[in-house]
Amino acid sequence: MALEIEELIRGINNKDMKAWEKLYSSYYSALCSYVNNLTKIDNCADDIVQEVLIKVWKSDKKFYSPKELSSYLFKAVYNNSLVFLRNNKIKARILEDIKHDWETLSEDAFSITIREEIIRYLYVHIDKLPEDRRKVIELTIKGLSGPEIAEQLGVSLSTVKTQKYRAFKYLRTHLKDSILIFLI
Amino acid sequence: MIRNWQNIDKVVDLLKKEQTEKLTDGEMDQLKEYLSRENISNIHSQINDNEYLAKRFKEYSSFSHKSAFNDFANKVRKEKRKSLFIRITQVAAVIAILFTATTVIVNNKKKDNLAVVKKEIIAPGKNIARLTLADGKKIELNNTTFNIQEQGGAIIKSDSGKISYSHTPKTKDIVYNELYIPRGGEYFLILSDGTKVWLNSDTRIKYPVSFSNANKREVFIEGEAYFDVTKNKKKEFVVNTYLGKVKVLGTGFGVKSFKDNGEVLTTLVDGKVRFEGSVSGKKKVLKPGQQSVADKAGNIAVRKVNVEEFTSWKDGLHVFKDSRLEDIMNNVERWYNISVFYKNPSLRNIEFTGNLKRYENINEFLELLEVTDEVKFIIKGNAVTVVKP
Repeated sequence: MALEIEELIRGINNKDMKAWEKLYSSYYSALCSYVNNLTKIDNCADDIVQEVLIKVWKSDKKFYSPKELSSYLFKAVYNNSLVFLRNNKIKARILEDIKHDWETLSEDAFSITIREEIIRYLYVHIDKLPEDRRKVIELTIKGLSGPEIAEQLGVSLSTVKTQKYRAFKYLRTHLKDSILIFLI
Repeated sequence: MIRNWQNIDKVVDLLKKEQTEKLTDGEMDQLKEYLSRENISNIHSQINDNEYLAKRFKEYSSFSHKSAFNDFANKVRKEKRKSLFIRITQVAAVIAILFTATTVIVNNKKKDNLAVVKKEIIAPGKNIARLTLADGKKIELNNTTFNIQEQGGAIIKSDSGKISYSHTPKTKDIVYNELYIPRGGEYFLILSDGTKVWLNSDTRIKYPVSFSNANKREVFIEGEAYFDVTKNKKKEFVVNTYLGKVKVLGTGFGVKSFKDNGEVLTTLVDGKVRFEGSVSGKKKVLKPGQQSVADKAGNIAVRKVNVEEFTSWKDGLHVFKDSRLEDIMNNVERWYNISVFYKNPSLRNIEFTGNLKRYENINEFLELLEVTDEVKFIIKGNAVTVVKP
């Protein structure tokens, strides 16, 4: 298992497109959501994240572990969000809220970063859920209510509730496998 | 707690651990301390709140990683073409200038002059290997993807620099395969028992496609490899070299056994192994951090080493610590497929400390060594000559 990650990291270092596609599928949404939560500004996330990823591609930066990669991406997106806010002078106040000084983060940014790293791990594991639980989660994400999901899947409302509960429980208990996140 | 990136990692790790296993008392205290901060206690309840998570997942799914990747792929492809074009124009310009200069000054000198002036780049190795099946059929592996069934029913899978075996034996015979990795190559092998083998350049390994019919797990190696052996107390794992055997139960260790070096090095990272010399019959048990050196005369010496120097190549890094130049170059010449010559024998013994990233050109590393003003490298094709500056 560990090896496939090594290979993937190697692929990312060597600018292999397949590896980069995997990188996008396991990080893109999470990083965009992170920008949204940091900047509290709509419609800027895609550009910021895309720019960061292209910069990483163009750089000679080499990674040696998934953890290093993960931490680097969040940090880079954080820094670029700050730059974005600085360039939008009206948002200067938000910038002050986020940035404490150069080395440390504000209380807000600090906890948001922790939260988003964890939610990303949970999110990428949805694909790994047993099928019935996965369906319930996917429909929930689409915005369907409990009774609507029950109707669509042809099961009782209480089944939906149990499946949903179990699904979240499953995701949480699989946080341990987060190092394998790339394999999904 | 300072709110820096290092501490972010620490809190993330502990919050994840709390969900999956029992925390120790110390960790529990640490967690309590974290949770005494209002912000962290808030996110702690958020990640335990299913409704909140569902809302956030919905937000995630509103971003399309697929279309973002397509945009990205288009952009970088264009970029690649552009930079290649610039490079070609630059090279063309340099050659043009040189050409004019040489024509004007010495009319009859040819190409050779250009080769000296132009900087020669020595690129790292790649994933290449040759697989020989039991029936003698040879397959060239080059990031090849395939699935084949070998004699006896074993399934061989190959995919991007890796080859693996799964065992479903139908016969009682032991069927062998052989993998040869040329100079400038590396490959990764997973044996049918799950044992992982990192194979370095100029290395040959022979192994059974399945171990289920044998009473021990036995492989034969010539060259350099790192083994991460799957534990199996009932079946000993034996690595045969031309100067002896390494016997193990389950562990991680490196073996370096090139015939032209005249010795076999076994470096133990963890677990326990025993080296049994075939010349003298001497046996030596190694502890983690130790290395045995077996020579042709039958001597087996055990010494303490920095294991990184001998095994980190599998992680993409060559580490040198007060290493002799000759040892450094011996270490990498197979991977870069170069031959090294020393103009003056004393140059071999100069000691250097540093790291070389395995997947990069060797040039930058050599330049760094040159900065010390102790040595200078002249590169011509695959020949590297070390001279005094």
